Amino acid sequence: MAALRILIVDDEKAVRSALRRLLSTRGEWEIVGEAANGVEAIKFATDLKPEVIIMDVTMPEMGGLEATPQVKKAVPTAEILIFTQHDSTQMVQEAQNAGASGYLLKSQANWLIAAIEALSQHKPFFQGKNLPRAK
Amino acid sequence: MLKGKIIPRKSEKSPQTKRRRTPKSNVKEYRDSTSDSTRHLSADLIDIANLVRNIDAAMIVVDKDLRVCWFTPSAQQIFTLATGDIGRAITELESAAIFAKLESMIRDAIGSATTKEREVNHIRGEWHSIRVRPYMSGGNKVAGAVLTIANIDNQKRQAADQRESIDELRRQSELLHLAHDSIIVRDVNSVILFWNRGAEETYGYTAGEACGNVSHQFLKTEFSEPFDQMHEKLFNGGSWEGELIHRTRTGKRITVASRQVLQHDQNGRVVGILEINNDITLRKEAEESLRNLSARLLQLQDDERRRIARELHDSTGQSLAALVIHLSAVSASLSEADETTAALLREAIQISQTASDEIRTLSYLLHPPTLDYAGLKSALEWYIEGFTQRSKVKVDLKVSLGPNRLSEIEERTLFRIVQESLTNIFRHSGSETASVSITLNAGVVRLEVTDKGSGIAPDILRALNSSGGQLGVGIRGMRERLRQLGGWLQIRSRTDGTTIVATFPIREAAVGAGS
Repeated sequence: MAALRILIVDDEKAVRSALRRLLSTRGEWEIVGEAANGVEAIKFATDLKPEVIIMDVTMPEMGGLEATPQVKKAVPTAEILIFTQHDSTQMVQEAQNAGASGYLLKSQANWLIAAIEALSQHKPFFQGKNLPRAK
Repeated sequence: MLKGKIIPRKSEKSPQTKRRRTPKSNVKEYRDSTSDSTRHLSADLIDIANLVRNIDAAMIVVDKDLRVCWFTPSAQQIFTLATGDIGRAITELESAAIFAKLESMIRDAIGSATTKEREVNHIRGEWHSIRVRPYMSGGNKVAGAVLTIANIDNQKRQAADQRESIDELRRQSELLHLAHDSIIVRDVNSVILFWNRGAEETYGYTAGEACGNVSHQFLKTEFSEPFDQMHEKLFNGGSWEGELIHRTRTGKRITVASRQVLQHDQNGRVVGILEINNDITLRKEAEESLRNLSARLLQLQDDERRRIARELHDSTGQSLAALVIHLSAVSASLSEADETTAALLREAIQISQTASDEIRTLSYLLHPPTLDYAGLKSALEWYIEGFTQRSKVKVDLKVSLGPNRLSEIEERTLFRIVQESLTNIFRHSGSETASVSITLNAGVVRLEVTDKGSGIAPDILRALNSSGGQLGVGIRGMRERLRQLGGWLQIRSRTDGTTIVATFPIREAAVGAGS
C-alpha cells in the first residue's frame, strides 16, 4: 500500500516541525513537502500532487482560504484540512466554500491524526470548540 | 444825582404807550422822595426804570456812600426793602447781612471802577449771583454802584445734580472700562455706540475706531445660528446668549461667549443693545486639543490592543499550538503499556489546550480578528454569543448594512459601542434581554442598543447626555469615537428601559466584503 502523501502549509516553522514529528509517528504517511505561504502551497501542490494538505489560514503573501480554491483547481483530488487558530463559524463556512474538506483548531491537534485519516478516505472532518467566551 | 425810588406804577398799561400819549403824566408818577433833582429825570430814564421793573430783575442803586437810591420790586423782595429805606446805607439794612462781604464788594467796584461779580450763598442757603457795576455819572465819574442780584439757586442745584449724574455716569463708565470682558453698546441698527477698554484689548480696535461701525460687519461675525433667528430671539425675548466668532484687528478668529440684552428708554422703547463678550478662544482651543488628545489616545489604545492581540494570537498562540502538537506526537509514539505516562500526557495536552483557548479568547476580546477578515456582523455574532454565555443576557442582533462593508474605523467604532453598551447593560440595568440594531439609511448609520432594565436616574441621564461628565469613561469614549466620524450619541431612558442611539454619516465608499 502506497504511503499517504501529505503537504504541510504553515508560516510558523515551529508548527511545521511539530507537525512533521507528530505525523512521522505514522510510518505509512509521507510528508512530501512544507510550504510557508499560499503561493508556495499552490506551487508545491501542483508539483508534488499530495493527497492531503494541512493548510494554515493566516500567512504572509497569500492566506490559506485564498489558496485553497486554487490548489483544488490544480489538484482536484487533494483533500484540504484547514488547521488554524481562528475559532469562527464564519471562517468554517468560508473554508467549506473555498473547497476545504476539514477544519481543525490548532489547540485541538490531538485530533489531527483522526482528521487526516478521515480526509484520506475522502470523508469530511470539521471539529472545533465553540466560539470563545467573552469576558 | 441819583436820589429817590422808582415806584411801581399802579397802571397796567405799558410805559411806552403812556409815554406816547401823556409823557408829562409819566413824570408825575414818580414821587419826589429826597430832592428836586429827580424831577428832572428824563422820560427815557423813566422808561428804562419801568423796563427794568417789568423784566423782573432785582436791582439796587446805591451812591458812593452806599446809600440806597432806588430799587426794583424784585430787589425789594430779596432785601426786604421798604420805601423808607431809601437813603439809608445798604450796610445798615439787616437784610444786607444775608449776603456775606457785600459791603466790601460794593466798595471795591466803586473804588476800582470795575465790575465785580460773584456767586454767594444766601444765609438761608439759597445761591445768588451778585453783580456790582460802578454807576458812572455824566462826567464819567463813579457816582455809585448798581447791584444786580439774581437767584440762581435752581440753576446751582440743577448744575449740582447734573454734576452728580455725570460723576455717577463716569464712575459707571469706569467700572465698565475696568471689566475684563468686552462691553459693547450698539443701537437698534447694530451701530456701535460704546466700546470699553476690554473690547479694545480683545479686538485691538480703539473706541474711536469701533464706534459708528455696524458691529457684525466690523467684527466679521460668524453666527452660531442664523442672524434672523438670533435677532428674533433678542427682540422677542429681551436677551440672547451664545457663541460667536469674531475677527480681531489682526484678522485672528476668536470665539466669544456673548450675552446680549436689550436696553429700553423710560417709555419702554428699545434704544440699544448691551453686548458682553468673553473671549473663550483659549478655552475652546484647549477643549479641542483635549478632544484630539482623547481621539489620539483611543486610536493608540486600539492600535495597542490590536498589536497585543496579534502577538498573543500569532506568537504565544502558535507556540502553544506547537506544544500541543508536540505533546500529541509524544502521546502518539508512546507504548500502549505506559498508561501512567499517557495519562500525564493527556493532562498536559488538556492544560495546553485550555491555555491556548484562553489566549485566543483574550486576543479576540482585545481585537476580534473576525472584525478584520469577516466583518462587523460576524464579529458581533461571535461577541454576543460569548456575552450571552457569560452574562445570561439574551441579545437579539439585527444588522442591515447592505452588501458593502463599512470602513475599518466605522466597523471598529460600532463594535466598541456595542461592546461597551452590552457591558453596561449587564452591570447596571438588571435587564434579562437586550437588542442590538444596526441599519444604514440614506448614508447614515444608526445603531440602537436597547434593554428592558430599570433605567437611568434622571440626574445621571442629564449629566450623561450633556457631556458624559465624570459619570462614565465608557460613555465619553463612545462619544469621542463617534465625534471622529462626525456622529453623535443619545441616551434615552425611562423606568422600563434604556436605549442608546449612535448615528454617524458614512464618510467614504464602503469597502468590498472580504479581505
